[in-house]
Amino acid sequence: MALLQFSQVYKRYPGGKDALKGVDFSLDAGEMTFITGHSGAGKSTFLKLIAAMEKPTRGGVLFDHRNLARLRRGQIPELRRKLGIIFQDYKLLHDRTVFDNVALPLLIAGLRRQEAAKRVRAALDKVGLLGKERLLPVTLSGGEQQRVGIARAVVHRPKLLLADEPTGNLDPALSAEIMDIFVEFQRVGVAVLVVSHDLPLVKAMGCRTVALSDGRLIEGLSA
Amino acid sequence: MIGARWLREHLDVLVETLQRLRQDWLEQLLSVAVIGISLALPAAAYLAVENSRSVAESWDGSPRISLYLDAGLSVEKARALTGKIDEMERVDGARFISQSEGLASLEQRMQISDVIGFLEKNPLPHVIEVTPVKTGGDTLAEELLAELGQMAGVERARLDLAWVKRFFALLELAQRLVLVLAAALGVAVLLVVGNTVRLAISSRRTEIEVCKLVGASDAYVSRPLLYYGAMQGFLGAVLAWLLLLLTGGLLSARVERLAQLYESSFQLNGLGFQDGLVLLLGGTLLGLAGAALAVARELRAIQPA
Ligand SMILES: Nc1ncnc2c1ncn2[C@@H]1O[C@H](COP(=O)(O)OP(=O)(O)OP(=O)(O)O)[C@@H](O)[C@H]1O
Ligand SMILES: [Mg+2]
Repeated sequence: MALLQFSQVYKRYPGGKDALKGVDFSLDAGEMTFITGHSGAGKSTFLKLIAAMEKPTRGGVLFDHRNLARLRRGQIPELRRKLGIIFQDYKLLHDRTVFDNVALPLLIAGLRRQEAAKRVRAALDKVGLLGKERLLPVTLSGGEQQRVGIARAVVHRPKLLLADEPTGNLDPALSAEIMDIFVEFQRVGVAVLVVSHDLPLVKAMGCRTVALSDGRLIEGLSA
Repeated sequence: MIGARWLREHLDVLVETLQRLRQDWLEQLLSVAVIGISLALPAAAYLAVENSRSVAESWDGSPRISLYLDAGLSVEKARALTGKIDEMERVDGARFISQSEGLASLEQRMQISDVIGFLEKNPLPHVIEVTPVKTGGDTLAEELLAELGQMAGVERARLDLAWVKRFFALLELAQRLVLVLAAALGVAVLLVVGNTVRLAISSRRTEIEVCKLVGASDAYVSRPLLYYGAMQGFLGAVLAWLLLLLTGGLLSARVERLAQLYESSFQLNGLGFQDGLVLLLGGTLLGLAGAALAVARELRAIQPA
């Protein structure tokens, strides 16, 4: 059974724009897939439906046996604790240290700081930032900040990692490094869904790739 | 175990809130000052009413009639009149206070001497203090008042109870005004706290969004904000209590001197410990409610996008 299943999903925004038109898609647990497509194709919308930041207008989005189309407000936090979300603009809290940023999902889930510390350090170790726990995010480079964002997204061992253009602001070498980190997480059983414009990089990764084009999904690297 | 975790989470948030309060202390100080004054005003008015009531209650509840006699009336005639009134059926007792006795007691009370030397003649009339029979009640006292007032030699008759009654009626009115004042200023506290919490929400907007994105429930994000409001209300109430103590301290010496003039042992009653606790609790709850209102209105609108 797939971890994530889109069936005939339509999304129309209040303005009347059809961002997704009958999308079918499925992702297995521990599988890694890239999503490409032109600007405005609906890639971000696709991820927002999974994170319950938007609701599908029609069709079903099944994640971990739950239909997200019928999710109640109060059930959203539980869903998001199974996800790790990585943003192009990092979305770090600038008045908190790297440690506190990464610890956030654990504290929200009710862990004590001491209980969280070990896992925070493990996550920072995986992204190569051990030793920078006490720094504030602004003192880090863009690539380092993005890795803090990744550590925060994986620290609570999510089932699915979502990344919307995680390397959009980074140079090719750093981008490749970030992608490698994703591959490592995929190897330990986390499903990964990465939106990227960077076709050469996506090709080089050799993973399953789908393309969105004007709200329709095409299997393969054809957009 | 659940209880312990719950308690610990709340304690963590409380500590965090305190740290936050320390961060922008000037802003805090201002709104705490507004809250403090808003709470202190109705509390002070309440104290004023309560003190007045205790003064009034210390007065003898039984009616007493004072008869001021004609200026020219001689002491002998006045004494005779006193005797006559004392014999009356509806009179429990009559006490004669001569012009000079009245003056002496006045001089002693006001700690002055030689009023006559100053005024050249005693300005006071002879007075007869009449106590009506206890069983008669107010109506009898009023009838008696009318009758005594028409007797020859009596210039003016005054029923003391009427004054006490009127005073109590006024007190009741004042008490109602205090309630209205308290309600109005309570609303003011709600608005002040609501506003600071609203500002806090908008300045922490990204933080709230990020927290929601990593799985925070509405309860989790609103908890520190509710603490923030409750804390402001509490600190405001503490300030109000201090203000009341301060005013009480400033006033009590004067009040004591005034009480001495009236041969009363009256002492100014400050806010009692229990009333103080009610004040603290009230302030905290108002702060909490103000924060809850702001949170309910603002937080839903913050959805990550
Ligand atoms: N909140 C919104 N309200 C109305 N229209 C929206 C909203 N969000 C996105 N859209 C529209 O839906 C379409 C798909 O948007 P989406 O953000 O999913 O595209 P995208 O593939 O992520 O593009 P990009 O590569 O530029 O990020 C676009 O035409 C966009 O204008
Ligand atoms: Mg996008």
